[in-house]
Amino acid sequence: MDDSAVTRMMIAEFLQMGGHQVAGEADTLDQALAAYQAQKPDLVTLDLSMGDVDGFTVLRALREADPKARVLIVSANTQSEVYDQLLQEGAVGFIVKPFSLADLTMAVSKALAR
Amino acid sequence: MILSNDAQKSLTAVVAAGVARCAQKLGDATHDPWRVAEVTLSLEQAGPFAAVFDGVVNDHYGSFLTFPGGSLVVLFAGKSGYLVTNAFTRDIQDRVEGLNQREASTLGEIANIVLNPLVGHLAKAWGISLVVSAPSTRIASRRDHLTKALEPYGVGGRDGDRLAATFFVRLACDELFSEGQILLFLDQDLVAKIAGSAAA
Repeated sequence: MDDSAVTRMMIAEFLQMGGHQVAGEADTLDQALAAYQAQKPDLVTLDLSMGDVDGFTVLRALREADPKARVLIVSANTQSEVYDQLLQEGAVGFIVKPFSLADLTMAVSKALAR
Repeated sequence: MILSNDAQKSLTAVVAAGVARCAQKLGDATHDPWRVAEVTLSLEQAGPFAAVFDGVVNDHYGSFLTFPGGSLVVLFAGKSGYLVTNAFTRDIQDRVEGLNQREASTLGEIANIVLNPLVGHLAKAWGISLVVSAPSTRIASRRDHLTKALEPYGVGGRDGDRLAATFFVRLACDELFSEGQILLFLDQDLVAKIAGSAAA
């Protein structure tokens, strides 16, 4: 989930290059929750700063819908205390934008191994 | 608002250090090194920049972001915007059609990536929490971008304005033949808070 279309494309392409299947994309909370319930993906990538909703709200909603939901934060935010709080709230990891194919592949592998 | 010379130097030093992080991030995003070519502070309602911007009528991509007590604008001229977008998306260009038609939204995401480290640095340096908004990007002349950016501060209004300081930053990348500008606006409440905590 990301409000930037180009970042959603990058994540989707990089994941597919890494042999993963992309179950869906979303740029609103409702879309994210509906897509999650319908697809039950192994992992959700989540931006923090979006137009109508912040990543904390989405993380909490996803974890409330499924306490086992694996959520990887992909954000431009560089404030370490923000990531500390996200990890405390159940995120399985994070990567800071901009990211390379190798960055995303490694972060996804680590997140899926948890 | 009156800021002493020492306060102005201190404010400029903090912003300059944050801007260096912007250049680093822009380099990460475009795979080529960027440098900070200029960091200038104005306490006069962005007056000097308005004069500079008046002379340029070419359209620019302008991405606007806000945070409590301030706002930011990132500007790229059309050609630089195209080159920066191409560099940012180079790893997926062969796999996704029509990427070159998404310059505005892509430059919004680049502004988000470039400005977050600056805002994070300012927050840490000033000991306050600053959360930056999502970007909104549009195409207009630099003068129009500046006019829109100044509106929230009441600049030019009868009751005076709330703008305390404006920074003009120029970033350049020789390898990409590109240049970008950042405008950072700080309102009077935030600058008073920063000056107060520095004096304490």
